[in-house]
Amino acid sequence: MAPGRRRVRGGGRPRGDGVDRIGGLPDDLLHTILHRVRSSPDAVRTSVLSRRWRRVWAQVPDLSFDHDVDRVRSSSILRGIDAVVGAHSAPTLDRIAISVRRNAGDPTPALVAPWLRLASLRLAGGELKIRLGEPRTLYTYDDDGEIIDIPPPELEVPVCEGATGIELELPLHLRLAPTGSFAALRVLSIECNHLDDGDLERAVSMQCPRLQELALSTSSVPDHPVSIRSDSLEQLKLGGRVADGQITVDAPKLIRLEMSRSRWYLDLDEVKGARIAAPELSELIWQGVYHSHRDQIAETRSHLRKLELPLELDSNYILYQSFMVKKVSALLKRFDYVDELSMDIEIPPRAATDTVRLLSARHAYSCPLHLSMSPFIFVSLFMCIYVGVES
Amino acid sequence: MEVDKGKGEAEETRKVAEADRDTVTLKSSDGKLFEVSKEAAARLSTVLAGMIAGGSIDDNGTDLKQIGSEALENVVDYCNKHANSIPSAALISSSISFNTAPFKEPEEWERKFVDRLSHDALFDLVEAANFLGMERLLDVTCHKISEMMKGKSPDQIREVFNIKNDYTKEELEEIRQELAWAFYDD
Repeated sequence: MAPGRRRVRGGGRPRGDGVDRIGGLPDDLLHTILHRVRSSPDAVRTSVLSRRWRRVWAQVPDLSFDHDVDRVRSSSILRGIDAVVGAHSAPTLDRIAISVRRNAGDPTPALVAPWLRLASLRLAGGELKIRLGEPRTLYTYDDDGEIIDIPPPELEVPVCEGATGIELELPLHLRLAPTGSFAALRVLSIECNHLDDGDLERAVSMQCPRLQELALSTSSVPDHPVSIRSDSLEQLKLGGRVADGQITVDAPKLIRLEMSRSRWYLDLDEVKGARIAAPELSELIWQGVYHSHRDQIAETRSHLRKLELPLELDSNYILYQSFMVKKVSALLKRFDYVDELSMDIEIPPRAATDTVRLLSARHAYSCPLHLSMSPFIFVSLFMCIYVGVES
Repeated sequence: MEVDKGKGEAEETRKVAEADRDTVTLKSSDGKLFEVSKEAAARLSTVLAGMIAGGSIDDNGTDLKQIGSEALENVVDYCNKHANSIPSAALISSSISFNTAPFKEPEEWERKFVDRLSHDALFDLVEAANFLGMERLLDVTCHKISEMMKGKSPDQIREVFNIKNDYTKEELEEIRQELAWAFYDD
């Protein structure tokens, strides 16, 4: 039986103050230590400590840049990432996490592609996280003074067989590699300007056989109806403009669905409709309008564990509010039993009883109803109403 | 390589007697004896697990000549505390996800355990854990060392760890230029 897989250097050295104990540790322990520092800039800075530390950082199985935490100038962080990506020599990585604020520079495909390539080649059983600021649609004006969108540049995401989690927040038009498999992927979260519908469908249904959680948000409405079919998916979150488009979800294992339609999205005619087939669904979070015909939650039990309707209303929009309550009432009718119903509503004192009457008259759920309201009012149901009017 | 010695020599009878005991006796470099639960030792140390499975455990104290008594006491203490603190359910799940999870944060008692150690005792324990193949203890001790580095300037790190700067001025300047982006303002 061989002793520990790592060999200790300089075992029987004299002790006492002034002895450099850390330099006596084997390289792989120094890698473990720097790994836990979780900051590539900090790891790189150790190269000036002494000759022993000159290249230790380059073998740390982790690449971490966090603009909000690292003490690196905005003007040099992208250069730093490039340098570390280029010089890194660990055979495998278990994490690539890069978070950079917008003011560091333009998030171009040429900038991000080498990071993704490194992830594709070296990531083994860990997560890839790249955040370069929220996607926004950029505008310009044509010769006639009309507003036109500037199409975001395209970037292809290569397959990362070893990644268990991928989170991308990129103000780009993303494409997903047409071949290969994200074999280990369990969590995928994409926030981008645009994602090709066909790419998404193919990736979810064929290239990600272990996918359990998917979150998708785009700043442009998809060109075509989006279809999400997965035998493994358990949680799905759709936000941004993708939730406004036409969607089909077919997921036999889906437990939790979160739909976040655009907040001030009033025009019912614009709802393209979501058709959800999820027989195991037990938690539903629905933000925004629910179209009584075009939206269909079919093949789902009539009993939900949790229904959350974050209406995000405030008292200045009382008309809008009653409109919204009506617009989700079709959803409330869809289920016979809900264990926990949660809504966020802000109501001025006088209007409170009306709203509660509206809700309670239509839906006599035998469940605790949580209404978080303005500071004036706290309502807790079983039809018990407490009104604390501010003096 | 001390641990290899007894392997071939172990008599069948002793093996049987050993298998019946639920503790193992470990002997430090300075000859002190420590008892540790066999189950915990096998679970937490790949080296001890191998020795137990291979029957190379010495009833009178298995020689661990690389480990001083203070460090071995901490190792044994850690094993015992670990055995007492982990409910069986967590034990099962931790053994399954051992190699798949990135790394786990130390638990509260583990933090306290390493926090009370002197600088030298901490490094002795890292080396002992490394020698015995104790992944979890290595994780906990390395985490502690990483916390001693976090947020510190190179000068401060040199001071904490007694690192002697053996670069020439020219070499240091070269590195600083090469990695200029990483040096904010010190």
